[in-house]
Amino acid sequence: MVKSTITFGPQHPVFPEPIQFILKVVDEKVVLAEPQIGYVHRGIEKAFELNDPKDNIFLAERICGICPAPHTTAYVRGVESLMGIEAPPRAKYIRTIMNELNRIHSHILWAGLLGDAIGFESYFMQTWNYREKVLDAIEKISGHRVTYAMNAIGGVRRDMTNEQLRGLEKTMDYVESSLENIEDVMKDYTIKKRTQGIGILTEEEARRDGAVGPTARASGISQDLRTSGYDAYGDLKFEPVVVNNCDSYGRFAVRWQELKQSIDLIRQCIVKMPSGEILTKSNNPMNGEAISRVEAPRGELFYYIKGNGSKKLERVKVRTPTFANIIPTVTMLSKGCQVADVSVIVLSMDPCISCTER
Amino acid sequence: MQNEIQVNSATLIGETLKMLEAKMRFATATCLDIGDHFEIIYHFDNGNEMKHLRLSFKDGEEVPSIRALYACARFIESEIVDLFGVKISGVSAGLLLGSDSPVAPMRKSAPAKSEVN
Amino acid sequence: MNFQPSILFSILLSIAAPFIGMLILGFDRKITARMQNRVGPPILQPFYDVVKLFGKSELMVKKAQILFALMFVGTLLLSTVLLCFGGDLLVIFFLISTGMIFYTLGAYSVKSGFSFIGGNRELYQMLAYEPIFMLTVFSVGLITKSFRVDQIFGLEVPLVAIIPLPLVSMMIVFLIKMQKSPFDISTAHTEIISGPMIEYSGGYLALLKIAHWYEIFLVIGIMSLFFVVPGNPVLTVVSMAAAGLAIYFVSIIIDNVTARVHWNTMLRLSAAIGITLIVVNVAIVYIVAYIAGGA
Repeated sequence: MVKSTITFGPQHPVFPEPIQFILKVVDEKVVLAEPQIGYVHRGIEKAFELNDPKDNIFLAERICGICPAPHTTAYVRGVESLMGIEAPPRAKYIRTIMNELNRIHSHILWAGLLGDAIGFESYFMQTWNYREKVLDAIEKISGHRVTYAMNAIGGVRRDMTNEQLRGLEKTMDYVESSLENIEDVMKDYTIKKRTQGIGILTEEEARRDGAVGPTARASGISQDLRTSGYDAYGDLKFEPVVVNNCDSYGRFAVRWQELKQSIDLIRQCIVKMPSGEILTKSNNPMNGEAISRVEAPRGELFYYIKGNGSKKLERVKVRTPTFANIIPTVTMLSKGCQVADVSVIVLSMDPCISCTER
Repeated sequence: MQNEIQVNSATLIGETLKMLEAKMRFATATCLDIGDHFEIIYHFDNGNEMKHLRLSFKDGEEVPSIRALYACARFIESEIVDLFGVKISGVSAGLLLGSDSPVAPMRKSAPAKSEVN
Repeated sequence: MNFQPSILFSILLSIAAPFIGMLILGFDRKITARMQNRVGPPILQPFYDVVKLFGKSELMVKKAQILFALMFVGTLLLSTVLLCFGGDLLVIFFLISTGMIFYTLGAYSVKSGFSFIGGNRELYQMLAYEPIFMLTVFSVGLITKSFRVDQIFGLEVPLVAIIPLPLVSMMIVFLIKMQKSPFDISTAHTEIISGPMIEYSGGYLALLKIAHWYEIFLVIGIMSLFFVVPGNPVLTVVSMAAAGLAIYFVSIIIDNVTARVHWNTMLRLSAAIGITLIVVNVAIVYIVAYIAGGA
């Protein structure tokens, strides 16, 4: 029995971004985990109050490098409801496509990172290779791989041509067949060994700690904001992916099935894509308070926006999914896991620290 | 906003307990600087609809913490204390900001300049 | 018929040993990269790394670390020389173990959590592979009636024909020594950031890297001893080299299709598979000998 303290992070190969867990360990068993954030706070919420609401779209986009689509969607939807306008149907479909493409590349990225964390490098490289094709598809639509700048207040900035839609369909076929290629990884002995029963979060704990997104859905909570039918989701057919494993393997399985679901949703969007305008112009004053929530790849993304009738916004509050998932992660870590499992458990909630601290 | 209940420091815990009993998830809390006073809006969600508790208080007044009821309030309250410099009982600053950071940067009185325009 | 390697050959082999280990590592990185759809570094990358490390200034936490690093390299160098000169396998084995103890002590001598856990894990790894290694050496001893390497050259058939299963067990040792999945636990990059080596820098880190080259040469050398073809020096060289490459290729494949396991899984696997295989093989050899002798 040797007690020691390990400072896991803020600089650690498994975390692309700085977060620290101070672990009290006995031999290799973690008995206490203390999270510490605050290494990359950028004061974006304050900047929202200082800039023009139109410029804020680009600010929202830069909160998170992996999920710019949900951030801008949540922001513009909030401002739209303050203005009392609504985006045209075609714009809603394009937004939905961008959000789902975003989810696909984010989930593939996560799957690769998990492979890296447990020392499965070939799987890591393979998944990231497939992700490139998704990013290429995004670039063909929006002109950029990372910051899409597709959303505008009242619609979207770029239309999609029929040619782009066909191209997207082809990419979806490619991604689907590639994922089927590596699907057997879910049955791999070593992967099961490293994820099953690791990082248990029961349904009760998930509710108590306010878990969101795949972390909650892997604990048997059917919580998916897309079912509320914002943007085009009301017209599309899908069921939230819920599993009852309550462990890291469950979170893996949820994301894996959501990948297929997203591919299906994009195909539905392509088929049902309405024609017409893509932008509703408006100069209405922004007055009152609005809450805008969208389902980002990591879970519920929460925007509170308050306007005071002037040209600038009074307050924008952003609550990112990772912020809600840190406390559940501490619960998972404090159950006496191995030091080797810390990286798997922290990764299983898909941390995105820069957007957590804004 | 819809489904909003006005609370004060004395009734906050009682109302939060009702939310807990109704199995609502504590989504987050938003702090607002309204010139002469502060407001904290507690957002709860049960999957279908949101409910909000709006707590108004004067600057310098210490408001109760709901950490005992909702463990996930820990970071949310710390962040409010850090960014707005308000007092929440039992919550210390230092989550997002360090000792050499600006104090309470989210207050309207805090100096800031726009970089974009 | 007894085959004695010439003294010159032994000297040359001792000098070339670390470079053989380095080339193995270099090719390993290249092949792994190609398997993963990457280009990969140049073959000589491990060499460049070490040269560059020697040029860096050293920042050591404790003086003891330096001593342990030197002792680690020293013992491995000695056992390599012994192997090249056809010395005693048992001595070689104990020298490697002593070297690993110095390595672990070096990890323990600094006050870093990751280094400490790395040291612990190094010990778990030794717990996993030492019994296999030792039993393999013993089974070789049982067959050749001696622990001397040159006795293997005096056998009638290659060792692999008599005791093939210990070779399979030695695969576990090789994977551990090569720091490959599923057994790369002591240096697990994404868990404990190179573990025991975390507080080494500059030339002393380079020494550890060189020691690693020696380790690889030793393990692959001992494993290819199973493929010595007695009485035929040319065929011996060819079959030993081929066997070494084959073993090494298998390890790369295993590395690419597995994730890292926990240390307790590793202990269980090595005890269950590694030791059982050796015991079964030795038992079979004895039963066959008994039946043959009785009839």
